[in-house]
Amino acid sequence: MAQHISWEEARNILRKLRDDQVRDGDIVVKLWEDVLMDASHKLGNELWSVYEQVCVAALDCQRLDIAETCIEALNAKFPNSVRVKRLEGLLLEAESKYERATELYNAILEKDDANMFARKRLVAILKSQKKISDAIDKLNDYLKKFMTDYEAWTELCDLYLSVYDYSNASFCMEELIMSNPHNHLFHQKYADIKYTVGGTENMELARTYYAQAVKLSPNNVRALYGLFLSSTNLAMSSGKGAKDKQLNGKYAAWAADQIRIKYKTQQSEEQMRETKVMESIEKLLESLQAVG
Amino acid sequence: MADVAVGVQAYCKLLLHSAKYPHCAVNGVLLAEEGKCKDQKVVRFVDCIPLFHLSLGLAPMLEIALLQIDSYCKSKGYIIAGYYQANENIDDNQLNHVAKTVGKKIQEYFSNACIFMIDNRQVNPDPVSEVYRIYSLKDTSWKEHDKSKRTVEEETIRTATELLKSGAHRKLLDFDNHLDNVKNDWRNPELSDLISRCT
Repeated sequence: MAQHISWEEARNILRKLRDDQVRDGDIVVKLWEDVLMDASHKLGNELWSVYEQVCVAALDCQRLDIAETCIEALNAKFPNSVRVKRLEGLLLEAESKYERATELYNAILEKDDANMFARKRLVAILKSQKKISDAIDKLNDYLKKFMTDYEAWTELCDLYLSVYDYSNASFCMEELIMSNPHNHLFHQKYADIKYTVGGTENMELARTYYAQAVKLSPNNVRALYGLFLSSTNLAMSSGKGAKDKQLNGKYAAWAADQIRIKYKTQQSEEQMRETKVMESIEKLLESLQAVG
Repeated sequence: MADVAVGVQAYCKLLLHSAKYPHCAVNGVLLAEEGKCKDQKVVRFVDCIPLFHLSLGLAPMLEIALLQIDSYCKSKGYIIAGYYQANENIDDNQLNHVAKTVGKKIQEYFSNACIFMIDNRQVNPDPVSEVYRIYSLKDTSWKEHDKSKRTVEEETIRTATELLKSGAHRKLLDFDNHLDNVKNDWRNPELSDLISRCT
C-alpha cells in the first residue's frame, strides 16, 4: 500500500501520528522504509524527531536493525543526550537485556533524580520479567513522589487487577476520581471493578458510579450497559424490599431505552436484526417483570 | 478428549485479533455448529467473535457480550464452544485465572469446550506451528491436547499468512470497538467476505 503514497504525504502522516501520539509501529516502519528513508535529508531538522519516532516504532515491531540505525544517527548528532539514552534503554529492553537496561536507567536517575521516564521504565522492566509484586511496590514508591501522574495510577490499577487484587485496584480508581471528578471513564472503570467483586453493597456502588458516568457522558455505552446490568441484578436480588426492587426495575428499563436509541440511530436495520441485540436485552427485562 | 478442527474463518480472525493489538492481552469466543456436535468425536470450530483488548479481568462487559452472542448463536444454530486468549507479555502463554473462569463457564453449557491459548511468538507471517495450544477440562483440571495433532489445514495457515501480510488485521473489529461505537459490527461481515475470497 505504501508504494502509492507520495513523500510529502508520508511525512504528513508521521507528523500527525506524532502529534496525536498514536501507537502504530507497523505503519510508521512501512512509511519509513518504503517512502521516506531514501530521501530523508529532505526532512531538514524534522529528521531527528522522525528518527526518534521510527526507532520506537521499530522496537514495537521487533525491527531492531532499524532501531539501531536510528540510535546511531541520533548519537552522532546529539552525543550524551539523555533523550537518546532513553532509546538505548528501550533497545536493551527489546533485546531482553534487562540488567543492562536497569543500569542505564539508574545512571540517568543518578544525574537527574526526577526523571519520570527512567523511573517508569524500571517498573516496566519488572513487569516484562513477570515480577508483578515488585513492579507494584516500585510503582507505589514512584506515586509517593509523583502523585498527580494519572497514567501511573491507571497502570497501577491494571497491575492490581492482573493479580485479582480488587480492593487495591479500587483504591487507585478512587484516587483518580478524586483528582479528575469529571472524567466519566474513571467512574465507569470503578463501577466495573465493584460489579466484578459483586455482593449487594458493591452492586449498589457500581450502579451509582455507572449512573454518574452516564450523566457525565451520555454516549458512554459501557456505562449504559453497566447501569442496565447492575440495576437488573439489584431488582432480582432477594434481600431487597418490594419498593427497592421496583425502583431498580425502573432504572433498568430506562437504561434499556437509552441503549435502544443508541442502536437505532447508529446501526443499520440489518445489523440490529441479525445480531439480536435488543432481543437479548428485552429477555432480561421480561425476566425482571416475572420476578417483580 | 474430542478431536478439534478449526475452520479458516475462526483461525484467521483469532490470529488477526492478536496481530491488531500486539501490546494488549486479547480474548474472544469460538463458535461451533450446534447440530453437528452431536457425535462428539470432532469439535469443528467454524467462526469466532473477537471480544476485548482493553481489560480482560472485569465481569460486566463480558456478561453483556456473552448475552448478545448467545442470542445471535441461537438464531443461527451456533453454540459457543471455545474461548481464546493472548496474554499481554509476549512470552506468557500461561492459562490464567481469567481464561479458566470463562472456560469453565462455557464448559457448563458445552462439555467438550476448549481453551485456545495463543503463542504470541507465532503471531507473525512465518509461523513454525499453529498459533495456539489447546486445553480441555478433564475431571477438575485443564489438560493440554496432544501437540502433534493438527487442527487446521495447510491451506488455512497460508490464507492467514496472506491476510496478515496484507494488513487485514486493521479491518478486524472486536466487542471493545463495538462498545466504542455500536456501528462497529463484531460479526465482522467485511472481513469474513475477505477471508472467503482468499480461500
